[in-house]
Amino acid sequence: MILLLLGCADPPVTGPDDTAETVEIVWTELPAPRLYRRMHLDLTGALPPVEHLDALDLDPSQLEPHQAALFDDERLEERLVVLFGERWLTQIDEYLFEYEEFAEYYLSGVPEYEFERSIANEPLHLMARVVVEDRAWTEIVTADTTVANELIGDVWPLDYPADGTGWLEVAYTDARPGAGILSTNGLWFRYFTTVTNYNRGRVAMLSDQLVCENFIARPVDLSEAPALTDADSIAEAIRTVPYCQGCHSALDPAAAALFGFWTNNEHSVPEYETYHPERETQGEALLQVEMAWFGEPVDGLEGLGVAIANDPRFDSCAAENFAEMFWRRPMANRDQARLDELRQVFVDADRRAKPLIEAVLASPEYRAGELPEALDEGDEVVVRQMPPQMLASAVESATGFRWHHEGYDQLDNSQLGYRTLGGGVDGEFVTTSQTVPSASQQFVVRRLAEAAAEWAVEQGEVHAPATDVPGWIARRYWSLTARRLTDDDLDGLVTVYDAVAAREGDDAATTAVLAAILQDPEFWTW
Amino acid sequence: MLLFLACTQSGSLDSGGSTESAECSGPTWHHFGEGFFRTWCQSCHSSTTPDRSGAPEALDYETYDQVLAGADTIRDAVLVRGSMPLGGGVYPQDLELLEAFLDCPSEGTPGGEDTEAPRAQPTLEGPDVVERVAQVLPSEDMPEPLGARDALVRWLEHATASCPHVAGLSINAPWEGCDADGYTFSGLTEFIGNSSATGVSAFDLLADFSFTAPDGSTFDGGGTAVLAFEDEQALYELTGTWKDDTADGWIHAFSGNLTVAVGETARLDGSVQRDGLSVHLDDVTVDPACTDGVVEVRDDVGWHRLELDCGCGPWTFEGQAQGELCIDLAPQLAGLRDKLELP
Repeated sequence: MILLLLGCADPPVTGPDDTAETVEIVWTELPAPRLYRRMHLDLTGALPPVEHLDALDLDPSQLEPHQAALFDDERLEERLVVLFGERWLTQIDEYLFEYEEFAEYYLSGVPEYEFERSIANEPLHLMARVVVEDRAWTEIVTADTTVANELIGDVWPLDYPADGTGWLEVAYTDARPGAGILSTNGLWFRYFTTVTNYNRGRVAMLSDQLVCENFIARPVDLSEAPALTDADSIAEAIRTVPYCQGCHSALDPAAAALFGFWTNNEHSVPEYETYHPERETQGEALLQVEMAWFGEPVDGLEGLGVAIANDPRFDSCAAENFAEMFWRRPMANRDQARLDELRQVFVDADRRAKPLIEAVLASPEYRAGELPEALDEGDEVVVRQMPPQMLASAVESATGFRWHHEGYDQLDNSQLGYRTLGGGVDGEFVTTSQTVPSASQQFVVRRLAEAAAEWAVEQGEVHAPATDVPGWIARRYWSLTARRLTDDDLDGLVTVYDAVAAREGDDAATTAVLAAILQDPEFWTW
Repeated sequence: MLLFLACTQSGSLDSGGSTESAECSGPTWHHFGEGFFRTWCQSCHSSTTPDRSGAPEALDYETYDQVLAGADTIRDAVLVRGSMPLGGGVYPQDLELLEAFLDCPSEGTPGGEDTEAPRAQPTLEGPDVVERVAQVLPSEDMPEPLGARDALVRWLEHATASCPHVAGLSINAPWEGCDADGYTFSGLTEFIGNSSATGVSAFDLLADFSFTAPDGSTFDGGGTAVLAFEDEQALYELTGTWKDDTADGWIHAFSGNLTVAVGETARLDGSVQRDGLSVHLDDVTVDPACTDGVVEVRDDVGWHRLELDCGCGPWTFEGQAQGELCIDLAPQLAGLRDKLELP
């Protein structure tokens, strides 16, 4: 392999090769219509209007104003919920607590799935609302409000208005401090703690998500650590043995600040859905530490949120997270300079996420249309494969079809649906989206395409061409992919149309061609 | 091996294709170093950390200048010998960045302004703090396991005859199938021990249930109520959430984790919330003459802390000295002894 762009005097500590070779990375941008399609899908989940593609085809310089308008699109919040869901992994299918206790909510007629998504999306909506309203991103850990819908607004201690509908910004009424998502039931339903884990797992998650410090991934070797056979020796080791202190010196003091959410019973509804202010100081006694965030003392949950917001890693991590979200790949050391630029954009914008996202969307890594010669496919993602939730919204925008079965969105859950098989994240066992096609993903695309095309024609969402079949097909392909059909491919689709029309009529032919386009890789990639 | 260290990439966030060129700009303090040392070092090597875990005094890595001054030591401990951080665990890619930073350190552009931490002002005066303890722990109605058991018995009087009753409770009894007369029962309960509904007896009650009456009032139990007797002492634990809309007293709205040993004297540990008011007790011992230990009281915005030495001691609010207060929990001791019928 090649050693790229080492500007420093000495070789890296782990690098076996001390010969630095500078390699130029030349980025090639997507054509404006296809790039706009990427942006439109990323920010709305929907395909762009074909008129916009036409305009950009004629005048690519119109891309920036078109892009700017997407930040005011009313679908942006829901789209960010999906993106944050992939990252925060809250959209799981079964909660430890909720699976058994769903009946105790007496939610007559409400499908379990709907309730699960309401729980999962509470913290995601708060984060999305902060972005959409162009507020400082730090509010995700300092806001004294949350965002809830009527379902959780009814059953949790929230001041959700009795006649309210939809996702509204409201406040908890059980004396919990305001610390943004750290104060939401939704986050802690997903990231439960056991009676004796004392919130440590929760801190590991917060550290990973908010300051990009992943305790779980640390290459710690415990082979020489002392054997731990009972609770007392474990507690002692955590405080005194270096193998343990390396993580626990940071984990435990932060865990102590989360004790208002520590439960005595992981399966009790009142224990789980209500904040427990009386337990706030109990963590220090149980963990035998004072509350702190990586060495900085904090005074409870509210102080923890402020300490995280002021952590220098918070800014860098925001840049990293948003870049990963839209570049669709993890960051590498070669990205550090770009990430520093993005961090600076973020800081200069008073830590608002919208300008940061704009900068990410302006980056050559985002706009790339071809793999630079200097990079391998494993290093860079140029062609993105739609995860199931985007596939669902893109197809819906094209056909009006949404795939439901017994109240379950078939592309948004894995219990009674195809989210995982379609290459998506289930939040629990599958934590990153599939980046290359698989057999099961192709089966999902195929069945979705067939069902959506059939439904669209039946419902009159898509009409058979009265005349000029080739023109209709070319136009439809353009609107769905922002690519022009080659003459050969157009001939092929016309042949399909004519053959089906001859046997089963124009509606069936329209369905067949539409289903074929929806299965085309140019459609399910972006 | 493909190694891209960050000493590169003059930025181009402009739209359109771009070319990157190499220059020695290195990972900066504000983008990388500050976070690295926060992650791996400052839990111990910090002037503010509550626990240095043996780190030498004044050997702190909080600022760019401190790290530059200690660069050789850091390089030796982290990159050469691997003796720090304790237990290892630094990702290889971060070690690469650290080396690059130590080789060509630069400060970079700082982050934004810090968010101001809200400065809490107490909402309770001294007498209110003392009164709050009496409200949460009234001498005539101290939270104890008997109240939980008796509430359970009362509610089960409305269940079907075939429903497991306290008199016949078995381990892991689910409440499904107990609905009768408009009452609904869900969840489960474990009950071990003497199940007499009257008198004082030892038992171990583990609850995870929700009951609803025809008028919509509920009884939720999520926790434990454990009572035992030993050498003329009562030992009990009351944890979790207990809320009985139909009852007066502590079980109307209790949440907490309370461990108590009571005989001639009492020792109380843990937290109690009652009707939204919260108290925490840490190693509190009570005899008729003296109350010792730490009592904490939550007001609307923070915690008051009293370190009692025979009833009186320093009073702080969120670490700020407020003076001295006195609390006498002897009435609570007497109340508990009466309730538990101790000799």
